[in-house]
Amino acid sequence: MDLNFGIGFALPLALGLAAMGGAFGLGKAVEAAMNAIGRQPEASGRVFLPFVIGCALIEALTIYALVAYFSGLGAISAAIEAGKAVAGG
Amino acid sequence: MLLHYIVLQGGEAVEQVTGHAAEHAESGAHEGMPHLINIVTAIGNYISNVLHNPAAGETLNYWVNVIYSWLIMLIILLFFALAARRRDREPGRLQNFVEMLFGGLDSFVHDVLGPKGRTYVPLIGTLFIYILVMNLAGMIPFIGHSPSSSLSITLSLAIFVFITVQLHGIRSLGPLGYLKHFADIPEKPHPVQIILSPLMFFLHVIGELAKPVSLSLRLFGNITGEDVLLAVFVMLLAGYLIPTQIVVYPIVILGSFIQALVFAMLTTVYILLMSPHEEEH
Repeated sequence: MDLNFGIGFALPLALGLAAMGGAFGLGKAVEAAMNAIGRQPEASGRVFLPFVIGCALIEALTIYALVAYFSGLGAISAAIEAGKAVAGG
Repeated sequence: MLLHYIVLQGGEAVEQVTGHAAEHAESGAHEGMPHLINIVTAIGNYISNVLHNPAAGETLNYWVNVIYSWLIMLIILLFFALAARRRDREPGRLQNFVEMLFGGLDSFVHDVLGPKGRTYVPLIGTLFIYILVMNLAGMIPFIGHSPSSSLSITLSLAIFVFITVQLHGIRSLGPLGYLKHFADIPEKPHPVQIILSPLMFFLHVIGELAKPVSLSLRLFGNITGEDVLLAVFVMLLAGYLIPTQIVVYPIVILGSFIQALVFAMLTTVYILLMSPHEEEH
């Protein structure tokens, strides 16, 4: 088990876990918004703004994981280049 | 050979076309991810490889985001200058559209910030329109690169918002009230609150610093994801000249719109949080 295997195993798994957590959170937020609109349909305009802000804040955490994924990919390719330079040069 | 120009993937597509080993000064986050070719990058690579002037070509590639954001700024300015030229009583379509847009933004900012929020309508409106057009620029066929998919642009916007919010806090709360807001000291402080205030101050500062970080990373990550999505879908059937990326256009438009809206809304909410809110107590 070397570095590439470790990163290759962990990065997509980490992203998937982050997406799962985000999906759960967003599901709860949408459920709450649906309940609120169902109870009082004319409140849908007032519910919309806090709902979208809440969803964006939850989504941001999943996006942090995506950004970390891209950085990890960059680290892999940098490590591969360095490995090639050491082995070939 | 034209097909090799359709997608630029790391340095490989340029190698296939020109046979030179192109040196790419890319940020680490964009290695190995497909990007759509765009005019400025194509000209930069042409200058680097075909005209054998790598310094000039790399400089052009380095400034591509600034060039595109200035281009978008000029387009927006022209559009609104054209729309505001005639102020008819019965507006034509362009003027009607712009009035609807402005009315929506105005009523939104008023809802959140109250009547004193009038001063911030231009700021929020500009942020929304600018970020929206920047996000959508990734969809246009040969301007396939959204400036907001670069962390520099989003971070500069976020720092600008951060400075605006802090200045609003200092101006509307007064310097002493601003510090008290950070230490969470209400009007009649209980002794325990005064003792705990250094800790609260520290926590609040961390929270304030987290805001521009989250704003910039959210916009950056979402728009980079959209650009990469478009590039991947272009790669699917580009060999047969079928524009497969039309399939993802709804997702891209929705995502761009939501991200611009969220940026503007969060700015408004941060300004609201920094305003004096005595009515709540």
